[in-house]
Amino acid sequence: MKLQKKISRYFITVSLIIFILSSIASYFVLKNFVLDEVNETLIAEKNDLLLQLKKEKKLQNVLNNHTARLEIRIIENGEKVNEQFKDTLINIGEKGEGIPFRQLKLSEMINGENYLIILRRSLIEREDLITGISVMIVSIFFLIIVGLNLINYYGEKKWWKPFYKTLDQLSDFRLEQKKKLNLQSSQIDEFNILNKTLNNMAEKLHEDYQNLKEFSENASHEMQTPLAIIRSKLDVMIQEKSLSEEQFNLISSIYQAVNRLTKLNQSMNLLTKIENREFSQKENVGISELIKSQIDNLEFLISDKELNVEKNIEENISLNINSFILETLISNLLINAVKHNIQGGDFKIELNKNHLKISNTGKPLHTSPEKLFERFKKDSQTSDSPGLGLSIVKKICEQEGYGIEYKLCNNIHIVIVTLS
Amino acid sequence: MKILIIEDEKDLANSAAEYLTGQNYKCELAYNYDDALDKLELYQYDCAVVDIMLPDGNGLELIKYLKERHSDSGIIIVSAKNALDDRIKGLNLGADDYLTKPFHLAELNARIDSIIRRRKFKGNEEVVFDELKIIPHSRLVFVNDITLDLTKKEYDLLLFFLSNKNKVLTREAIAENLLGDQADMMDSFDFIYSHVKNLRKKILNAKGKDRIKTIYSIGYKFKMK
Repeated sequence: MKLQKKISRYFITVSLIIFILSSIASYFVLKNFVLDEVNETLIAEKNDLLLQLKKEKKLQNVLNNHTARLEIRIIENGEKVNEQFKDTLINIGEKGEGIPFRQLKLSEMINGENYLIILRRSLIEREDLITGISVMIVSIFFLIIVGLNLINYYGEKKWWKPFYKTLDQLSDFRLEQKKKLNLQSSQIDEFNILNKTLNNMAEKLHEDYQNLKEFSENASHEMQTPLAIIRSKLDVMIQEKSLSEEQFNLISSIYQAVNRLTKLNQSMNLLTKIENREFSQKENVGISELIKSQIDNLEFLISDKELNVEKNIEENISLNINSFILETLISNLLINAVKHNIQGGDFKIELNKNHLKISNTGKPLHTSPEKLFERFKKDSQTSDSPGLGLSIVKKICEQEGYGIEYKLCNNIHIVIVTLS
Repeated sequence: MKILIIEDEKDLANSAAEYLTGQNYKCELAYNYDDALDKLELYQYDCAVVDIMLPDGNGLELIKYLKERHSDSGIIIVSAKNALDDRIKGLNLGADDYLTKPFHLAELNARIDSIIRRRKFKGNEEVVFDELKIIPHSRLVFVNDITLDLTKKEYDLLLFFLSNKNKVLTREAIAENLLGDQADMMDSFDFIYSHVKNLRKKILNAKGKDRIKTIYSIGYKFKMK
C-alpha cells in the first residue's frame, strides 16, 4: 500500500471517529442549549403571564392577548403544583401528527384563585437545527474525503516525483560503472536527506569497490612476472643432463602447478579486463570466417576424437565487436564442445544472423547447466581447468548484449548465443 | 647468429639467454631502454626480442629505431597478454612476430628460428638435419629423400622439435605451439601423445631414425647429433 494512501486511510478513519463523537457531543450540547433557551423563554412568558393575571381580572382577556400556547385552569381544590418542565408530544391538525413541545407546568395563587398554568413552546426548531447540523457534518466529511483523494491524486504525482526519480536512478545504479549517482535536491526535506545519504553511500561504495578492484587487479598483475620467471627457470632446469627420473617427476609436478596458476591468473585478468571494458575498440569482424578458421585449427583434435562435424554456417556474417573478444568467445565455446565430447561423438555448429548454436554429445552433468556459468564451477572437480571458460563466455555475452543459454537434453549439450 | 634480448626482468632475460645460447645463438642482454639503445647503436643483431613495457621507455621506439638503422634485423615483440594495441602498433612498425607473456622458452626459440630462416634465405631455404630435409616454404619434409605425408599439425610439431633439438620440450609448450591461445583451455594432453606417436611412426616407416625420446612425465626430446 502506498504511504500516502495509508496515511489518508488513517486520517479518514480517525476523522470519522472524531466527527461521530463530536456530532454526538454537539447534539447534546445543542439540545441542552436549545432547552435552556426554551426554558428561559417559558419562564419569561410565565412571569409576563402572572403579571397580566394580577392586572387583568378576567382570564379570557389574558388568553386572548397571549400568543403562546397556553392552558390556564382554575383549580378548585388547593392543589399545589410545583414549577416543572417537561417534553411532550401534542397532536395538531386532523392527521394528528405528534409535534414535540416543551411545557412548563405550575400552579399559582393569584387574587385568591388557584390557577394551573401550562405554558408550551414548540421544539420543532430544535429538530430542524439538529437535522441541519447532521447534514452539514456529513457534507463536511464528504468534502474532506473528496479533497483528500484529490490531494492524493495530484500530490502523489507532484510531491512524490523526486522520490520516484531517486528510485529510478537507484535502479540504474551499477557499482562497476564509474558514473556518479548524483541525486538532485528537491523541495521536500525528507527526500533531500534521503538523496544526500544515498549520494554519500554511493560514493563510499564506489570508493570501496574501486579499492578492492585495484587490489585484485594489482595482485593478479604482479603475479604474472614471478610466474613467468618460475616457468622460464623450469624450462632451463629440465635441460640439465644429470637429472634423475625422480627429479623429473618432481619438476613435472611443479611445472603443472605453475601452469595451472598461470592459466588461472590469465583467465582472471581477462575477466577483469572484460569487466573494465578495456576491449572497447570495435570493428566489423567476420564471424563466419572466424569460426571456420578456428574449426580448422582444432581439426586435429576433432579427428583425434573421430567427431562427426556438421557445419551449418551462413556466409558473410559480421559483427561489430572487438576482434579479440569475439575470438575468445568462439574459441572457448568450440574448445569446450571438442574437449567435453565423447569418442566418435557429434559436433554441430550452426550460425545465422540471429544466433550461434553449438551442440555436442557429452557426458551427463552432475550440476545444473546454468551453474556452469558461475566462476570456478565445473562439472568434475578433478579437472585441471579452473572453470572460468564459461564465465568468460557469459561475461562477454553480457557486455555485448548477447543472450546465452545452455541446454542439456539426452546427453547433448547445446549452447545458444543469441546475436540479435 | 646474434640475438639481443631487451627485457627489464633480469631473471626472465637471463633464462632466455641461457636457453638460446645452447642453440648456437649468441645472446646479449639489455635490461632497460638506454642500454638497449646503446647496444643497438654499436652492434648489429640478427634478431631482437623487445619487451614493449620498459621502465624507462617504450619498446615501440626501439622498434622504430631498429627498423631505420638495421632493416634486416628480425624483431619479436614481447607484450602482456591482451595488450592488443601494442601488438598491432609493433607489427605495423615492422616487427616480424609477437609473443605474449608468459611464454615458453622453446616457443621463443622456435619463433626466432623461423624469423632468421625467413630473413636469411628469403623463403628458398632447405633445412637439412642428417637424413631429414625440410623445405619450409612449401611445407615439405623428406626422410632420405622420401617425401613424408604429414598433417599440418604433424609438420608444425616436427618443425618445433627441430628448432629445439636436443632440448627437453614440455607437453605444455608443445600444446601451446600447436594450438596457440586455445591451449589454455585444454586440460588433457592426450592429443600430444597421439600426434607424437603418429609423427614417430611416419618417420620410422620412411626408414628415419627414432629420434623422439619420451622424457618421463614431463615431455619429449628430439635427439640430434
